[in-house]
Amino acid sequence: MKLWQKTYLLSTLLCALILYGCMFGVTAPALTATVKGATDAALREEKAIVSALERTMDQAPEGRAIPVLKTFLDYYAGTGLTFGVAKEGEEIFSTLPCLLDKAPGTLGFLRDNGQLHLFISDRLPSGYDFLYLKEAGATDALLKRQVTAAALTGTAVALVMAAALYALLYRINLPVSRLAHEMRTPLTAMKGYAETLRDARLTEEQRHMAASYIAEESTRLSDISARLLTLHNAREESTPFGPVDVEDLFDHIAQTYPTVTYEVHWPTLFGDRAMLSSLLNNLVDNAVKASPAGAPVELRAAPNVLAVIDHGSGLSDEALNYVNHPSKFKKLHDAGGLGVPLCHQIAKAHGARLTYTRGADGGTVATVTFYNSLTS
Amino acid sequence: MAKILIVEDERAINDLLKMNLEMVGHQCVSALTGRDAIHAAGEQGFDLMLLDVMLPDMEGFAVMEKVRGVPTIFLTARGATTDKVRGFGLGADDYIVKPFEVAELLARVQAVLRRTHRAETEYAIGDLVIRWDAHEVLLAGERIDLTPQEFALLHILIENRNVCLSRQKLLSEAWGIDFLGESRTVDVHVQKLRRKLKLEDHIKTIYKNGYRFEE
Repeated sequence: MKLWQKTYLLSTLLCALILYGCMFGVTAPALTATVKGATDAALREEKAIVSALERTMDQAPEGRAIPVLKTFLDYYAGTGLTFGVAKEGEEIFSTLPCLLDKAPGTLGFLRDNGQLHLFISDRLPSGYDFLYLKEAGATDALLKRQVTAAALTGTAVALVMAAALYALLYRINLPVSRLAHEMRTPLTAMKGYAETLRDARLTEEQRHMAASYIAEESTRLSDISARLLTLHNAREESTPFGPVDVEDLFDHIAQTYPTVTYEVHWPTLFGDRAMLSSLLNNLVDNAVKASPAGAPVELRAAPNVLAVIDHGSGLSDEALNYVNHPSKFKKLHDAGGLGVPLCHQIAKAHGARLTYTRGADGGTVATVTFYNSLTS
Repeated sequence: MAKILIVEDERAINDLLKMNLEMVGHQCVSALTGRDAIHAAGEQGFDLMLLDVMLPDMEGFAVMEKVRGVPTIFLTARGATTDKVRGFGLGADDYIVKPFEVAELLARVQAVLRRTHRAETEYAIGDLVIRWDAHEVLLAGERIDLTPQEFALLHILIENRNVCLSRQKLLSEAWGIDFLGESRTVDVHVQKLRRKLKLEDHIKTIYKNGYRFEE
């Protein structure tokens, strides 16, 4: 199992535990209320019966108390209520379905033959022990419904959460391996055609085909590279966007390319330094290649705009069209090659747009305009 | 010359395999899907099948189960050990890991063809006739004696005709991987071959690279 999957399982388990805890916390008062409602009703009923019983027995002629008691209690048979009366541990009368031996003054539930009953054990002022037993099927059903509802809700929420979390983690983690896998095909093709070009005796047509495949497959590689960059941002551990010191960014590039001069009127921009550095490196690299040896390349930062200006021979209309809209072209163009689609991608990720225009002296100006910049 | 079926969904790689196999004299048929491959194998016989494990419509292994009796080399991604085990279990003859070297591919194809007795037994160019099994070389009907080393070198050059082989490659293929020779050894033997068999126009020296047998 992969590390992210282990992390996923552990966090899902923890979340489910917490979720069920919360569900229990929410359901417990409702269950208590149900039980309390049932017992209160039973208590009221039992008190009413007991007081009626006392009265009946008080009024009974001497020595006839027990037959009167029996008659009285027989009346309740068939209402779901059963009783037991005992004196000094000896049973006098019982309609109870089972033997009950409960201390007087207690109240509770018991299960008999799968059926829930509520019992109240009482001692009458006349010294009789009285046991009241009531079927509590309705309460039982209600409790079961409440527990089932809570469990189902909890499970449903847990499942939805687990699925959403898995989808997210899968998206973040798996594409890396898939992209790595996807890179194999273009790599295999490029390596194979390069070797064929080097070693084999090819016709002009075959040579052209091999070279075209190399160019085509390298476009695919650059696509994958762009997707990896986007993915890099999707990963949580990276802090993709933050303030970037423009002067520092330009300074690094000027150290690589000695002909680069720069001017900064926009001290800080908001973005990913690694990506912006890759973008500017690409633009400057192309500008330096387009310039005569030793000719200066200017880097400029004005609020919301970065520009790379060269004084080279400039691009043809066709090339200019390509570098502005590389996605419209199926094959790579000489102008800018691999880097251009990537540069557009990086600009897009920053809410910016990359445009190439012809400078006043015929050179090329690459401008990155930030539309959604948070700081300026 | 062997008849080879190439089953690979990536057109770039399919064409690459085809280009190189045709270069050394094989006849190839391309299939981009498993269904096409099964169809092609049903219509004509092949000496060898190069089979990609991951095809869009079915697994390569399923193709292997359907196309019986054709020696198979399957193409797999690096590290997919289970693929190898499964492929050999189904009777594959060899496997090639992507990304592969063209020279290695050609060598493995030849090895399987030899092992399954489908390699060419005779080669003729101009006045020259070579019978591989009999180790016999005839120039204008007359037997020419070659040392085993020279014969091996000639064999490897002709098997990879139109493809340049480096001196290092020739040493390891014709002399064996453990041979501690110098690349000068190759040059000397090539000179002898050219002189004995009048192959000056066919065994070409390729600048900075090695030698190539051209038809």
